[in-house]
This record gives sequence, C-alpha cells and structure tokens, in this order.
Amino acid sequence: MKTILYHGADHDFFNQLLEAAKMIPHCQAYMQGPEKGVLLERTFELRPQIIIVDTAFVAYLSEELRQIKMLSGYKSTVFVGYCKDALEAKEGETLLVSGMHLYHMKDADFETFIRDCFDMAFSDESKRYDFARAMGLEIPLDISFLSSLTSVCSDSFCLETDLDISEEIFVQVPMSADETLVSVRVKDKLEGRFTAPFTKSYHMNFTFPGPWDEVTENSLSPERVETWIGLRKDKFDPRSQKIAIFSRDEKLIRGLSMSSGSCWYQVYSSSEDVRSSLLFSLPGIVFFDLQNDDGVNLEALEEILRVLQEMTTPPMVTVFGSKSESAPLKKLFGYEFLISYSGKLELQMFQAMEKKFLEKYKQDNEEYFLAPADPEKVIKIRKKVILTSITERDLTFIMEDSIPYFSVACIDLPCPAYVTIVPAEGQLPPSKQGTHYRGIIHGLDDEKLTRLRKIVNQMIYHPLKELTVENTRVMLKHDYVPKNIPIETPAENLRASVTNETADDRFTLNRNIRGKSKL
Amino acid sequence: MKNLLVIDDEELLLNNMKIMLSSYASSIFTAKNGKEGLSVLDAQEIHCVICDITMPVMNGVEFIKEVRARNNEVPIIFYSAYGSHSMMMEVSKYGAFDFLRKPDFEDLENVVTRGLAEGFNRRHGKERVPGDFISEYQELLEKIKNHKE
Repeated sequence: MKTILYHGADHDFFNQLLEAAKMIPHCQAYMQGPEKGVLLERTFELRPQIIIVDTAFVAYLSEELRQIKMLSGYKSTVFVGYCKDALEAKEGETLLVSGMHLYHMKDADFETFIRDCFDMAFSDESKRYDFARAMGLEIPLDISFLSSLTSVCSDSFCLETDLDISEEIFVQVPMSADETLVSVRVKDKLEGRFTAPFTKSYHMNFTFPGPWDEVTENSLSPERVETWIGLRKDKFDPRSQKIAIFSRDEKLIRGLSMSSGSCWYQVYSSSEDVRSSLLFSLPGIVFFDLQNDDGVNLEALEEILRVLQEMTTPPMVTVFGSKSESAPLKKLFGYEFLISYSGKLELQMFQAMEKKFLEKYKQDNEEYFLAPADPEKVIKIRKKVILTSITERDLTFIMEDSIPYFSVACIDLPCPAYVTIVPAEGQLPPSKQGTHYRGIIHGLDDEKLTRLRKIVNQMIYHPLKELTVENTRVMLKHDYVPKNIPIETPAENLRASVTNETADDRFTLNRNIRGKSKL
Repeated sequence: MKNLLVIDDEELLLNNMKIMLSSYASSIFTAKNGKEGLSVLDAQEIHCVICDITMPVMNGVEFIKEVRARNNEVPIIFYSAYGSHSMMMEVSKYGAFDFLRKPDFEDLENVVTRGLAEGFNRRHGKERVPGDFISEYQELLEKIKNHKE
C-alpha cells in the first residue's frame, strides 16, 4: 500500500490529491488538520511515502520534519511543501534545510506538482513525461546549496551541509553585511554527529581581519558577531544542555522525537567516528543503551569513554541494559562518573533523569543554538557548475564536487528557483569535468514558470554561451521561437519522446510545445 | 544467613580468605576451579561468589557463562590483575558484581558485604527498582557537580 499524507487545511487541494492518487495503484491519500505534534503521530501511524505539508505552519513544522528525519525508517519519505505565496515560500527555506525536498506554489500547475512527488516517491510506477529540453548546453552556472547554521559562538559556528568542505569557503552569514561574502575556515569535521537532513557537519572558524589587514565597514569582526548574538539572544533556542544518546531503539527515538525536549538530543546509532562530534558538542550527559547489542556494546562503550576522558570535565555516563553493576564498569574502564542499570532505557525514565540533570545544571552556554524555524539558519554555499540541459521542470549539470541525492540548492538564473538533486531518468553522459547530476526545478509560481518556459524555448533555438541577467531579459522580450512545431518531427535538439504515450499524454505534450510557441 | 563461595587455584589464598571474611559470612565454601565451584553452587544456597579470572580446568569467564546459562544471577566478584583487561571485559558482559585488584584486595570487606547483601536480596526477589537507580543517579550528579566546582 502506498500512502500520501497531507498536513494542512485546504480541502480543494486535498480533493485534487485524492484524484491524483488514483493514478498510482494501491495508493491512498489522507488529510490531517494542522495541529502541532499531530504530523509526527500520523506519520508514525501511516508510514507515508509522501508527506505534503502546508508551509503556513512553518513555525512548528521545521522542528517536526527534522525529528522525523532522525528516524532511519523515514529516510526515503518524500517531503513536499505547499506554499500560498512567495513570502511564505521564503519562510519555507527553513523547511528545506529541515528536510523538505520540494515545494510548490499553490497557484502553480498541480499536474507538475504531483508528477514531481510521484517521480520521487514512486519512480517505478509513475508515468514518465518529457518536456521540451534545451540540450547540448555548456553554460557556466552558479548554484547555491542550502546548508544550515545550527549554532554559533563568538569566533566559530557549526555548519551542517551535504557538501564536502576541505578548507576555506566564502559564504554569506547572517551577521555579515548584506550580500557580503565572508571567509570561513574548517576547524574540524564533526564525524558521526547526527546531522539530519544533512550528511556532514563542520565546526567552522570565522576569519577575522588581522592587525595588518584593511578593515572596512563590511568586515566581520568578533565584536560584530558578539553584537549579533547579543541582539537576538531571546531568539535563540533556549535549550543549552546537550544529551548524547547511543541507541538503536527506534521506539525510544520516536518517543524522544515526540517529547517537547528540554535539551538537545544527539542520537548516535553506532560508536564509529564520533570523536570529533562529541568533543565539539561536549554533552553534559551520555546515555548508552546496551539493549540492542548491535554495534552498541561494551567495546563501543570503552571507545566512547576514551573520547569523553579527553574532555576537561568528562560527562556523566549512564549505561542501560547492563548485566554488570556500576562498580566493575568504573574499574574496567577507569571512568569514575559512570552508573549502570540492568533495565531498559524507557522514555519515562529518560525524562525523569533529564529533569534531575537540568535541576543540577542550569547554566549559560557560550554556544547559541538557532531555533528550528529561525530563517537566519539558512546558509547558501555557492558552487560553479556547467549546465548541460534544461526543461521547465528539470535541469542537468556537471559539478566537480559530489553531492547526495535529495540535496537542495537554489539558482538565480535563468530564473530564481530551487533545485533538488534526484536520480537521472536513464544514464547521463559521463564527464571528465565532474559528475553529471539531474535536479528537479521547484518553487516557481505561475508567472516564473511561464518565464522559465519561454527562456527554455529560446535556448533550444538560440544556444547560449552564458546565462546573464541581461540575456535572460532579452530572451523574455523577443519571440524567436518558430511556431507550430509538429510533434512528429522534433527539432534536432528537442527531445519529444514519450514513454508509453497515451492520448492524454500526447495531448499534454502537444499542449506543452504548442503552448510554448505562442509565448 | 549469608553464604559465600571463594574460587581460586591457590590454596593459601583460599585459607586466608576464609580467615579474613569469617565475620562477614555465615558460611564460606571454597573451590579450586570453576568446575568445582559449579558443584558447590548446585549443592548450596550461595549469596555471593569471589572468583579468580585465570584458573586451570575452568576459568572465570567460562564459569560465569555457565552460571548465567543456569539462570543463576548470584553476584560474582572477580579478582583482576595486570593484563587481564580482555577477560574482565568478557565477564562484564555476563554480569560482574565488582572487581578486586590482586594481590592487595583493597576494600575487600566492603565489596563482599555489598555482594552478600545484593545476593540475599536477589534470592528474595528484592531487585533494584528504577527509583533506587534514580537516587543513585542523583547522588552521582551531585558528586560530579562538586567535582567540577
């Protein structure tokens, strides 16, 4: 059974969704009214393959999305945002860095929206449609990958991203002057840290001007960062203490996801490569669950304790599911602040222990965490790629760096839009310059979609060497496209084949191509 | 009435233990290896065991495995010595009650008293409950806080 869950209040949209679900065998759509916490419950109950959320509820959805992403069972679930207008879409960026894969505007084409969802979630069963494609391109393009600023200190910050960062990068950070790119350097790669929805985490140092460097009003300084922190202290997430949990118990992790949480939970499913992450986050307490002895065993505990002993104030470690008492484990590992319990780590007990811990340790941290729905947490890392083809719905490009599927980026040209990396339909030609990727274009309202369609058509007939604001303006002004191109004789660089074409599909394709010719 | 079993292949040590711990246990049984120890466990109501890790015939790891396989949750205190880390790790997987460092046996009386009390409680169904654990946890939190300050 395939399941789609819609979290929102738009009944017309849901009725359209019910109709669309009939296109996929054994597919059912469910609607859930927008209430805080309900998305998690319904998701656990229905285990949907597609979750469509109305981004009007961004304030709590970003947290809930991220919590769902913590669970291994939902890694392939497709999250789609549905936005009312451009303003809401802007706020929706925080949802994109919380794990949303796509978002669509309410006034945009529903058909495209549902195709994108089905393609991502049910690629085997969804029909393939081809759009007019400008191919054989070799156009340099800037593409910015969305990443997340998770916490900040006066001289550094924690960045979660899908990109590999080796040394220095230039990014726009919220404490820098508008549009100013600042240099930041990798201090440490935080291996093993739970970074959902991203795959990598870095401790980055700000690069402040040295005594001999020229200082301008746009230069980033420690004072500037501290002022920024000071001005928005009440906007940071009040959770300051961190709890590291080593467990594979999905029930417990689900429970933690649904609890309000007074601390930051860092969940680790194995003890491998956790050193940098633990030493960066310095958890105040560590829970180690031996219940599921699958990578989380006494040998793994020994490894963790060795790392924790490197901390100036080693945290307290509580071991659950231990057959041995605390005393022998303390002696065996030479770790004084350890307590063991033979019972299971249950949510209720966890919460009781968390409460006691917070009663003892109420303190101000030097590290400030950005709240899940804070729009300032979105960081864009720009990359140069080569655009090789584009339609109104997707694009292909070659990039030197490797990037996982479902990473989200944004582009300014040919028109402002978001791009989600997805598997290519068929094989993309290999390139010596890097890896060839396909990305679905989304976040377009009807007007932007019309503009993009027009630009793509112009690119088919008038190949470009570069994409600039100026030449996209020219393309939009003039109508170069030959009219009435028959579908039976596609132009050399116009791919117009449809797999398992039906009369309806053919109509759709005709409408597409002829519609474009009128632009 | 709390009974103790001491397992070691050194006869002199067994005799010394009997003398040292006579006022802490009602009866002290001895065995020269794990196999003999199992026979005593079968025949007597034992509340705590002190066991060497390295012994001929049946060592400490094999002994605890066999005891637990028989669903016997008697507290077992092991001697630890330099170089026995991997064996200590193994016995910990099956539920060690504590380790005593050979040959000084620091804190011997205290550990044995706790072991006998725990064994007696286990026999009489008085398991450690979550509330006890939370109290211990609280005490440790306090200790850490004081340590940090």
